[in-house]
Amino acid sequence: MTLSTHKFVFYALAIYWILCLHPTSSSAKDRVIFSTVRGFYNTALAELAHQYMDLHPEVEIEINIQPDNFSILRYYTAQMAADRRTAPDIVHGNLIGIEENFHQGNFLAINEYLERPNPYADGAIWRTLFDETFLKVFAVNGIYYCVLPLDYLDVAVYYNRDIFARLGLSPPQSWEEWLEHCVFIESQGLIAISIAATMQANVSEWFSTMLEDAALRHFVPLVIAHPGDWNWVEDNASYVHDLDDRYADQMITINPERLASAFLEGKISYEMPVFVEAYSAFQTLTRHYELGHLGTDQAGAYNLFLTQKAAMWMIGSWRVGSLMKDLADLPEELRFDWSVFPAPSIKQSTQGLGPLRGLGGAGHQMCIVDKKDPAHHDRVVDFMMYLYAPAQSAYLIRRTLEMGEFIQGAPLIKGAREQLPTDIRDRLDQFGGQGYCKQELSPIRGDNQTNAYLRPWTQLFSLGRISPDEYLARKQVLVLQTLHRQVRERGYDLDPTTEDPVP
Amino acid sequence: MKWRKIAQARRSYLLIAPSFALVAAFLYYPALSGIYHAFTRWQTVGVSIWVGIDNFVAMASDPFIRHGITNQLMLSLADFAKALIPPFIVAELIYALPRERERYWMRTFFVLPMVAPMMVIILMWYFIYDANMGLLNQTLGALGLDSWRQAWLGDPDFALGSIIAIGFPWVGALALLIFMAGLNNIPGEILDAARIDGAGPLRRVFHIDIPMLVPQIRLVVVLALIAGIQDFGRILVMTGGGPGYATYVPALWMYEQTFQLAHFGYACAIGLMLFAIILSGSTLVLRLMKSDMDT
Amino acid sequence: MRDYRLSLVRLALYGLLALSLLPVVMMILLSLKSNVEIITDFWSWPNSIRWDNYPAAFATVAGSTLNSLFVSLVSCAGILLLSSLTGFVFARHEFPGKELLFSLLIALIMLPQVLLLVPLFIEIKSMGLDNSYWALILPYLSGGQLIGILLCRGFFSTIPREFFESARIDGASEFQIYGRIVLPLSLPILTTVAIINFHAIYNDFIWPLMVIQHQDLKTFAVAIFDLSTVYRFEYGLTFAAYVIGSLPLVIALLAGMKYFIRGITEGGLKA
Repeated sequence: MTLSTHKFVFYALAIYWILCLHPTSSSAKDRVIFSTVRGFYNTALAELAHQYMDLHPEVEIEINIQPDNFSILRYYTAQMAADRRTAPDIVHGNLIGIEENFHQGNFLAINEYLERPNPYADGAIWRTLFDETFLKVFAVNGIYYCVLPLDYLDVAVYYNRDIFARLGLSPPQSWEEWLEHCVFIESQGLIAISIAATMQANVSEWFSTMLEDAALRHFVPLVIAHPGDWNWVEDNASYVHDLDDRYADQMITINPERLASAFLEGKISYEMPVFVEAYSAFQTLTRHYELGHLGTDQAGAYNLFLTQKAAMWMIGSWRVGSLMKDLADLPEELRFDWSVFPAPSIKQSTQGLGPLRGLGGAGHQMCIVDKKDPAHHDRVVDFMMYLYAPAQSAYLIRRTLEMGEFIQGAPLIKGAREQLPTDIRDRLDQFGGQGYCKQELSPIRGDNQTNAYLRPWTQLFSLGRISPDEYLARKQVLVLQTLHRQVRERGYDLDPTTEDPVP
Repeated sequence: MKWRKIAQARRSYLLIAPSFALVAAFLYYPALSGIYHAFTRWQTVGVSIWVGIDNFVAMASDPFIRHGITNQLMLSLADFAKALIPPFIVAELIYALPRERERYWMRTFFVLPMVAPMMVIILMWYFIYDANMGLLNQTLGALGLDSWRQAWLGDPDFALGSIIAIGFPWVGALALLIFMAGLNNIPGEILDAARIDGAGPLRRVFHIDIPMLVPQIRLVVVLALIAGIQDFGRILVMTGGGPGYATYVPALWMYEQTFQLAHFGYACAIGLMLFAIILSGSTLVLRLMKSDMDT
Repeated sequence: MRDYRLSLVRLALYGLLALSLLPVVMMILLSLKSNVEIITDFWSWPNSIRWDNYPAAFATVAGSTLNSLFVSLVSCAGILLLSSLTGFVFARHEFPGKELLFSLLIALIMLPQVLLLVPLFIEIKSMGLDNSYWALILPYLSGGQLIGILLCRGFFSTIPREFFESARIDGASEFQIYGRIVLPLSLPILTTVAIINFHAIYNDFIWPLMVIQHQDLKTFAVAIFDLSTVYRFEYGLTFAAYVIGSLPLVIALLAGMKYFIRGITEGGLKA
């Protein structure tokens, strides 16, 4: 080794570093980061982004794919706290806690944009391209912060029709019948329900959410925005309190201050019998999950169903495509026929729990991050308008299927539905029709801090280690703590007639 | 006078400047920043409010910290045992082989598992532990031991033990090599003297090898302590801290406070607490194992 | 009697060796089976050896493996350069404040990563270095050089002074001494430093998980973790991906094994 070679290596390395490592964000272009979850529409999205950049060379669109919703949450949280300017502009809001972010001023209200013409849809007013129902379902207090009812998705219980036929079972009509099915299936040496319940994805909680929704609906008259309340909307006037009507409360607004007061004054408490019944039913169901459901991830739960070790599998419409493909890939003798049924309702309820509703709605909820820069917002929204114009939506669906990738549910944008092959469309049409859980009724919905502290207890509860009473007592304590914090942080004066500015 | 010396030595300073620049920017600055922010409420960068010891008070009543410290204690004790005992036994076994060539190949083979990336090993064990499809339960099932099948990672009674058992039989390559080096360096006269005294192999191990290996043992213990407390990657992958609180450790909670809740100040406080534990732990180990044989 | 004892020792060693290598062997065997074979008949020996997992796995993890390799190599090169240079200066130069400066460096060896994790993340983020390899390399360099400096200083102190004197008389500059004498002599110790750091950097998971979000920049450990959280687990493909990602470590270890073992056994690593 001589001096010159060392010098050479040193300089070569130095130059190589500088070339390779220079941060890429040096361009003067306006940069829009679109962060979504892996596995759906990814290729087509990237292609549409490129087409948009061809139209608008002054813009740089970055499609940021995260492996799952949980990763998006982590990514988004850290980016926002560290530097809002470089945080994603458009983010998949599924797990982020849309309402909490809205209260913190992190998401942009797009009411005004919805009234503008969409240049990529022959100047049609943007609002008219969407399904009005879904816009309303996802509005908070009449404010639209998250649009794009791109597709309709819902959750359901997938079941193996061959196994059901062999055992002489048909889809259960009631919660009670379902539990009997489970017991019988297990007596035949099979797993009744395979379900994933890891940190990344806790499917088990969907059942508790549905059951809790059936209980919370009892209190709608207490917490609905009354005439004179700051977030009263006209739909509230036509509300009729009928627990058997799955759709009665879908369009109404809940007044968050009435909700907080009702809990703080003890008018609603998780220790009430109606919640105990809901959670007892949930705990009974958890006994019929596979062994170790808390250590079973999405892939593990899926494999149990795919290999016919489990007769049922809880998941949503977004798995239809992959299940069809994987079954087709299996050798003939390993394939089976399947279908889905919605989680059935409790028939013999002592506390009057109404029918269970779906957890679905518009999929691919993309939220626009408020960067306090109106010019930049116009740019971001312009890209959204491009993406969610009929021509591009149809392309998104068609291209995704062409690439062998999966869509999440039945397309909602006009003209896109016809792109679907009939076999997939028929499958997707089996989902839904059960209404949607009214998630605003839960005081801790989307509150990541509370959910983090509740999680260990939820896990122990679903293992049968603690009783419903114990669990609900714990939950009630956390809910009250959360409400005190929300009142402080959101500046609620607990007077439902005045809107309180965030301090 | 002194200034002239400094000026004369400016080339030396220049040569060590790159090291110090890096250390200042990426070790000292963040460390001091972390210590300072442990006493603040810091949820958005650029905005931190001094709150005194509030974060530490909150930690005292935080169930994640309480359970986390207990779990960490179990994990660290297990880590010590795993880091020390199997490599030491294997080193002694290899040392007992008569031929140098065989010893050489043996230790080479034991270093081989190092080729599998850590994450691959963790994911392989995740696969081994899977309650329904995993190797462990399938093996138990095939042996007719169905009642022994467990939800290894999904059961609070087994989860921590399962995480501890990762990497069985725990023959760490680095520790093995360090011990072998120590054994090789034991002066022949001492061994000869022991042989003449009629000491058997076991007596030799306990009365000569272990005392002579104290410096190596100390190194391995300190390395295990530092690595073990920080290594929450395996827990993040395997259980995410659950079920319940069964596998939470403070470092994992710190990570979640950062990335789920953006509670940077609280996270820094947890980091500072762990730093204090590691520092006092290492000092204690070094103190306890102080030996006059070490020069 | 003696033979009996010796065969017992061998038996124990081979047993432990087999158990230690089991995950590696399992990984290779499973990578040669198809997904259906693994799901339906886990135990069977591969029906026919299926190499077709490998092209697909290669397409999946080649990018991230190269990323890890690049970051590890560049970091290691930097660490070697810095630790031999700084170690040399501390061993051979005399200047005011030397011991104080040295302890300022070495004290950091005890500094745990957990204390730094959050503030360093914020620092890197505010420097705009996240989602670039700088975010990995700079911290790796800073932390990785410390042990190297300690070892190199210790090693260079043992080289007789005459070595350097004679070179200096021959008219060699400081850099020439460093290049011609210091580096070649310290090869075993530097290889050890390189392998320990290469191994640590290649295996690091938490830090890259925090600072790299771009799909194209992700390192191997993060990429296969992502792969494991995917909805549909392709066992054969994933295990093949594990094998592919292990190759850089295999090569690094095989290339440096001799020096590595010598470096540790002769370097007198102790605390």
